[in-house]
Amino acid sequence: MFELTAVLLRNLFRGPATRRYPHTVREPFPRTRGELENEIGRCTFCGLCVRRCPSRCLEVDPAAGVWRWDPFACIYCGVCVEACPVRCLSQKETGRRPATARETVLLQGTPRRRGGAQGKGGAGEEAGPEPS
Amino acid sequence: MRHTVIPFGPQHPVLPEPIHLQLTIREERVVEALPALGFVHRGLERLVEARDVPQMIQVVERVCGICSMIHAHCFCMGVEALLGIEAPPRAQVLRVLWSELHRVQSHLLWLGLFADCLGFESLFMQFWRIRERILDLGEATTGNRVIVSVNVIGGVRRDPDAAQLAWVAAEIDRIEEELRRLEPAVLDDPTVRRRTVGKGVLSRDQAWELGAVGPTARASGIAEDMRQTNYAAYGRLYFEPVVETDGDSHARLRVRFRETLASLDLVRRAIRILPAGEVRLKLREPPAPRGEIVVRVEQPRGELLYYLKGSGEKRLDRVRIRTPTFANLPALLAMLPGVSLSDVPVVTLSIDPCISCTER
Repeated sequence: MFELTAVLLRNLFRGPATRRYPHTVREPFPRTRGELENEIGRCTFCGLCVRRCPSRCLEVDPAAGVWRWDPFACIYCGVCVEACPVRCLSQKETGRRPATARETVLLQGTPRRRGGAQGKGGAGEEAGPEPS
Repeated sequence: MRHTVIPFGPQHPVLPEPIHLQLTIREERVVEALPALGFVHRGLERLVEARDVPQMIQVVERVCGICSMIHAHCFCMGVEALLGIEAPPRAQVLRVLWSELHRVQSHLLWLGLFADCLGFESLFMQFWRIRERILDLGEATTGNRVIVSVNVIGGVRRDPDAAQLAWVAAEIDRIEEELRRLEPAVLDDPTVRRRTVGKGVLSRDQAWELGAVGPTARASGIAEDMRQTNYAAYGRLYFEPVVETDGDSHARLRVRFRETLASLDLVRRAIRILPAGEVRLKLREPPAPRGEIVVRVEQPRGELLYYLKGSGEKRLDRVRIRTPTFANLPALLAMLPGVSLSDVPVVTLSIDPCISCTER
């Protein structure tokens, strides 16, 4: 009849199991897949991330040198980070803060000449485990 | 005597997802139950026309929110079989490890919801608190919390190091200890027993004829579990299905509780036999499977079936998914007649209905 009483009594002295988020935030685990970042200076606008993205949240305009990310369509799977041939894409360990309006992240870089540094990432390469 | 028709769902406090049951009632007892589905259909199977094979992994993960790992595991195994490749041994064991962690968190979620539907709020909170720690294990080892996105064609994307695995094993021990402490409160508590013993009985023959799967079938005495087919690394883990014979809601509760403990044990054993080596094959070209195949794995709710058909293109021609709740719905309809109206929520929840899975 009183099977749970011992557990409940123990809980009384253990303190709360929950955190007062957002005042107290837990440290993220190492290599958690959080917000996407692009070091736009190194980006070659090859468009591989766009072709690999399962949720189609990325857009690249090589002529204008624009890389656009829709964080509200992103599923934070990290496929683009793995696919990036120049490793300019990375993920933070923390997620984005809640927002009240939908916005896209637009990064402006220097457009590349045709036939320049692009084309390194052919359709077939598959890396080992994700880069840390 | 006049019959009354009462709609149960699609919005109901005990239902985590929308299913509608049209209940014909006579003197507070159910005479007949008719289901209506289709409230959360998302057309995920059709997305195969627009996504290539590696992108479909992220799509099939979204069929079910709480066992995403197992859907992706099943899909990848099918594609790998069509391509004639096999994931490295370490990846196979890691897939089992994460699949079992997902089974534990799925069962804990259900145990909590079931306690909640009995009105046992305190127990509900206990289970969900434990579940949070399992989710932490998943997040630390895979990078994502619920939809882990860790499978790829030819292996897995993450390789936990020895320190992480030791932490997982130690945490599993602590979680098991806490669960054992709750065991008498779940299985022997008089209020739980009064609401579940003898309610929604499914005999062994009925379960067999209606094609019930998973814990629903195993609670009726059918010792059938897809993990017995030894896919991935299950052959090396000496797996034994958990079986009960009573066939009532309490038997289904017992099966799931004991399975949670059994899965924790499987995680422990998987860590023990984890071989060294690579975790991901290097594919020379994008996967373009040719042929058709049926793959079956065990999901927390029962047998999950994938039919894949490809014609050597980068997109598959067809993906057909049959989820366990779809197979268990006829069994639910057979359980309900004779049940008192107040017990309908408990009996409905006892098959662990996952409607988003069913409607995809």
